[in-house]
Amino acid sequence: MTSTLSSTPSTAGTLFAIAWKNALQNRSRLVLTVVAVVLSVAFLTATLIVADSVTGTAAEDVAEANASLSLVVEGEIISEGDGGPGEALESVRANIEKGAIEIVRGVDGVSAVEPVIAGFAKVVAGGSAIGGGTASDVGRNWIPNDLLNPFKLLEGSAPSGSDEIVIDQSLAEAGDIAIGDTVEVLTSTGVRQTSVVGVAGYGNAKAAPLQRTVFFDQDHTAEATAQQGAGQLRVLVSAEAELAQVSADIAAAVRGSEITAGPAFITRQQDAVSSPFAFLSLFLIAFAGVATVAGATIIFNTLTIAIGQRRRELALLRAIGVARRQVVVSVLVETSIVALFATIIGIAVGLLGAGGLRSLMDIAGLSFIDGPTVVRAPTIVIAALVGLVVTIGSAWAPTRTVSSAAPVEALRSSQIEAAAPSQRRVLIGLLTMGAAVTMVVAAALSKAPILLAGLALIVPGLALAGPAFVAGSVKVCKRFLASTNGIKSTKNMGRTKRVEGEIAVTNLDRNRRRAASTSLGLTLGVALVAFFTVIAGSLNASFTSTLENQLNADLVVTSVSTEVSTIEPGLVRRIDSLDTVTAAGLSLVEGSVDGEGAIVGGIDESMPSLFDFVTTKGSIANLTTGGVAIWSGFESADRSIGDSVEIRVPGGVLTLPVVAIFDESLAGFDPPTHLLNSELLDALQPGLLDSVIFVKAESETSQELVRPLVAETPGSLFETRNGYIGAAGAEVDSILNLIYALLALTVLIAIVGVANTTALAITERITEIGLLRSIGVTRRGIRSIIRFEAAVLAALGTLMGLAVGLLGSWALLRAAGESTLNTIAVPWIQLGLVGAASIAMSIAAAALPAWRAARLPTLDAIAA
Amino acid sequence: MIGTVSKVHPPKRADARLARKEVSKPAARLVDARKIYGTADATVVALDGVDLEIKRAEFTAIMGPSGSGKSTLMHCLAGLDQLTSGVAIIEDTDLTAMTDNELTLLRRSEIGFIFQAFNLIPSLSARENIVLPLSLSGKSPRSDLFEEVVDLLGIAERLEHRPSELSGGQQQRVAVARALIAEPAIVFADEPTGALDSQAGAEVLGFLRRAVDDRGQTTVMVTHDPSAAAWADRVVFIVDGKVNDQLQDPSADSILDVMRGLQP
Repeated sequence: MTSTLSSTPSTAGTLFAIAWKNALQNRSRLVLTVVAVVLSVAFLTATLIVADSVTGTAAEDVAEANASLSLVVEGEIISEGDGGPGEALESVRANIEKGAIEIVRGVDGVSAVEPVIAGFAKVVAGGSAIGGGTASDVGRNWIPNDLLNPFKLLEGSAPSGSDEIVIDQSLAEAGDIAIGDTVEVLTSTGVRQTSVVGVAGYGNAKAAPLQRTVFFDQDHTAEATAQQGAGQLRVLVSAEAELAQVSADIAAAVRGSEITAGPAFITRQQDAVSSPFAFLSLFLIAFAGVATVAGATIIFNTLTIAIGQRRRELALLRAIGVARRQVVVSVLVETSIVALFATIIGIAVGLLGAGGLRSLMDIAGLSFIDGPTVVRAPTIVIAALVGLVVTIGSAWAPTRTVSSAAPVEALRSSQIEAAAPSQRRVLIGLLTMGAAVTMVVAAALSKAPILLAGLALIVPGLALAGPAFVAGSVKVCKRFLASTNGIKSTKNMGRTKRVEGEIAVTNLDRNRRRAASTSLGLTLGVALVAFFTVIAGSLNASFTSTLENQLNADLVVTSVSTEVSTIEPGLVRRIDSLDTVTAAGLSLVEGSVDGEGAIVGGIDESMPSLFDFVTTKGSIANLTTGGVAIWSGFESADRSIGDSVEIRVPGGVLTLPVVAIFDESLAGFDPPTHLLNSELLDALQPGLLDSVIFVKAESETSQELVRPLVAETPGSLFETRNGYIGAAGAEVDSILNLIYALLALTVLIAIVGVANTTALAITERITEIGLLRSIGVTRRGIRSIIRFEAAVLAALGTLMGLAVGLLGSWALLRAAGESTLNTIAVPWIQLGLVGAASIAMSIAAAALPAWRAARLPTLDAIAA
Repeated sequence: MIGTVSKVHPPKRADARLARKEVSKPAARLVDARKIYGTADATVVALDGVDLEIKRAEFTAIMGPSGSGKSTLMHCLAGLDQLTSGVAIIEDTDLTAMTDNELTLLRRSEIGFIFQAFNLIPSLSARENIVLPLSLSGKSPRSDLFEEVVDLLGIAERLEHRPSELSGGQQQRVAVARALIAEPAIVFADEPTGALDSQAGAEVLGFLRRAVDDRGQTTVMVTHDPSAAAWADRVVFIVDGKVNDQLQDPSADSILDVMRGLQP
C-alpha cells in the first residue's frame, strides 16, 4: 500500500471511460444539461447580434462615404438636438450665408467646395408614399464632384434640370422604382412630377443611415426644398496646402462658421447615427443580462441535480480507491467537454435565431434594422465565455460537495437532503429587499429619482431571500389545502387533490434554494413585462386623456409620419374657407429659446378654440399681438408675462414678450415647448409644413367637404377625432411590441428552466415515485403532484415578478414622469393575462416530465 | 419497548377476530403462474408454473436463492407486475384482468407494502406517512385503530418526526404501521429486515408476528434469512421458478435443513 494516489494516464482513461458510459446511459440527464446550456448561449448570442445589427454597419459606411473629405464648414449651433427613437442626434444649426461659398472658394489651398442643401422630400409613386418606419425623408443637391459627394451613382446619370431626380437604392427597392419611371416628390413647396434618372448608394450601403434620400439638380435644390442657403460646405484642400492653415483662413473669412476636419466630422456623424439606438442597445444589453441570469440559473440547477444523482457512483469510485481530486477532475473534465459541445451548438443556434429575432422586430413594426446582420467577434467571445464559465463553474460546487462526503456515507444513503439555506443568507436577503423597497418608495414619495437605484438591489435581495419566500408559499399552500379538506373527485378513482398537493408542496420545501432559483428567472422576466406594461399604459393613457379633454375638433388632418411635418401649408386655408368649418394648423421647428433647446410651434389664430392649452397665466389669444407662449413643462418656464425671450431657429432670431404660460401641450413625444402665431413663425422660418391641422366641422355635410380636400393633398391624412385619439398611443405601442416580443422570450427561457428542473428533480425521486405508485397513487396522481409543484413555483415567480414590476413602474412614474404624464394607468387586465399565461405555460412545460414520471415502471422505480 | 417482543413465539392464531372471515378460503392464490422476461432471443423464465395458496390470517415466508423467482412471485401476487400466463387472485379478484388504474386502487385498499429500505416519503412526517394510503382514498383513519397500531409499534412519540430524523428500525416500524392502517387483505414484506441490524430486525418481525396473531393480518414475507423466516407459520421454498418445498411451523434449524437440501 505504498502507491500514491496521483493520476496515471490509465486511471484518467478509466475514469473517462466510466464518465462516457455513464453519460450515454443517462441520456436524459445529458440532454437536459445540453439543452440548458444551448438555450442560454443561443439566447445571449442572438440578443447581442441584434444589438449590433441595430447600429449595423452605419459607422463603417459613414467613414467610407466621407473618406476623401478635407473640411466641413457649418453654421453656428442653435440648439442640441434631442434625437428620439430612430432620429439621428444632430445639432440644429444656422444656415450658411449665401455668399460664403464664393469666399471659401477664394481661400488659398482650397481646390474644391460644394454646398449641401437639404430639406424634406418624400417620394410618392402610384399614389402612395414610399418608405415607412423611422428613417427621415431627405431631399438634397447632387454634388457633381465625386470626391466631395458622400453618395455615389450606382446606375444611370446625375440629375439635370428641374424635373430629374436620383433616388437612393433603398427607395428604389422599397418603391420598385426603375430608371425612367415618373414619380411624384412631395417637398415643402408642394408636389412635383419628376423622372428618375439614376440610383445612388452611400458608402457600401444602399442608403445613408436613417435617411431616405432624393437628389435634385444642384441648381434646383434650394427652390425645391425651400432652403435658404446651404447647411454645410464640403471642402477639398489641395495636397500641397497646410490643412490647419486653410481651416484658420476659412474661419477668418466666413463669420459665424464652424470648421471641422474630415476625420472629426466622420466621428461626429458616427456618433449621430448610433445615438438614436442608444436606448434600444441599452435595452437589448439589459435584456441579454436578464437572459444570462435566467440561463445561468438553469445551468446551475441542472448541474447541481445531475451531479447529485451521481453521488453513489462517485462514492463507489472513492470507496475502491479513486482519490477525491481525481473524482473532481474527472467530473470537471467531463462537464467541460459537454460545455464546449453545448456552447458551440448554442452559438450556432444563436446565429440562426438572430434572424428570427429580426423578423420579430419587423412584425413589431420597428424597421430599425435596414442593413445586414452584423456578427462581431466580441459577441462570440462573450457567448462562449458565458457558456463555458457558467457551466464549468456550476459544476464546481456540487462536485466538491459530492466528493467531500465520506465514501461509506454516500453509499449508504441514497436520498440527498439539501442543506437548509443559512439563516444569515436569508436575513441578508430580506434586509437588502427591505432597503430596496424603502428606497424605491421614498423615491416615489419624495420625487427623488436618484433613489430609484434601489430597484437594482431588489434582484440580489430576491436571490438571497428566495428560500424564505418558498417557505412562505409552502405554508400558504398547506393552509389552503388543509382548509379544502380533501376535494373528492366525482370519479370513483377516489383521488384527492389534497394529499397530492401536500406531497407536492413538501417536495418544494425540501429544496427551497433550488425552488427559489428556479422561480427567480420567471420573476425577472415577469417583472420587466409588468414594468413596461405599466409605463406604456400610463404614457398611452396620458396622451389619450390629454386629447380627450383638450381637443375640441371634429376632424384631424395628420402628416404621413409622426416624425416630420408633411402637410402642405395651403391646405389649412382651403379647409378654413369652407362654410361653417374652422381649421387651424400647427407647424414645428427645432431651435432654442434663451439658449435652451426648444421646439417652437406656430399656430393659426383659431387654434385656441380647437385645442384648450389650459393657460395658467396670460392668454393664448394674445399671440396675435406678437408674443410667445411657454409650456409649463419646459425647463425654464418660470417667466412672467411681459418678460422678453430670445427665440432662435435656423432661419433667424427674434426677441418676443411672453404673453401666456400653458399647461397642456399637444400630445406626443416632442410637444411644442413654445407657441407663436403661425404668420410670425412663417416670416422667421419660411417654407414650414404643417404637422397637424385641427378642424371644427359639426355637420356631416361639411365633414364630407373636408375629406376630398385632404385626399387630393399628398402628405396629409384624414382622421376623425376618435381615430386620432386612438392613434396617439400607437407610437408607444410599436416600441412596446418589441419589448414584449423580447420579454416573452425571457419568460419562455425561464419556463424551460421550470421544466428542466422539474424533469431532473423527477429522476432524483424515482424511488419515491415508485413507492407512491406501489401504495396506491395512480399515474394521474403522480402527474398532478408534478404539475402542482410547477404551478406553485410558477405562481411564486410570477406574483413576485408582478409585484416588483408594479412597484418599480409606480415609483418611476411618480418620481420622474410627473411633468409629462398626468396619469398612472395600470392595465390590470393585460397584467392578469401575462400572469395567467406565465403560470399556464409553466404547467404546460411540466407536462412532459410529469408524463414521464407517471410512466415510470413501478418496479424499476422501487429497485432503483 | 424491547421487552414487549418475546424471543419465544407467542401462541399462534389466537385471536377471535378470525371468526369473521371464512378461514377455509385462501386470501390469495396463484394458479399455474408463469412470468417470462425478455424477448424471443434471450428469455428468462422467472416463474415456471407456480401454484400457491396464501392462507388467511397466516404468516407465510417465501424463501429461495437469488434469482429463484421469489421476488417476482411477490410482485405478481401484489399487483406490481403482471403474469405472462396463469392467474393471480386476491380475495375474489383476478389481478390478471385488471388495468393499471384498477391495480393501483387495489394496492391502495387491499394491499400493504413493506420494502427493504426507502419505505417512507422523506418530506412527510411519520404520522402523515402512516395515514398516506387512507388519505389517498380521502378517508381518515379510525382513531382507535390508529392508536392501536401506533401503540403496537411503539412509535407514539415519534409521530411528528421526519423519516430522516428516525433510526432505520424506527423507519421500518413506521412502514409496518402504514402497511397495517388500511386493514388490507394482505401485507407484503420484501426483505423487511434486510437493511436492519439483528435486534431492530427482530423487533420488526415481532410486530409482524403480533399483527398476524392479534389482528389476523394475512402476511407474506420474502426473505433469504432463515432466522427471519422462522417467525412465519409456513415457509414456501422457490427454486428455478417453481415451488420446491413447504415447511409448516418452521424453526431456524428446520429451515436450514431444507435449504441445505436445496443446494446443488
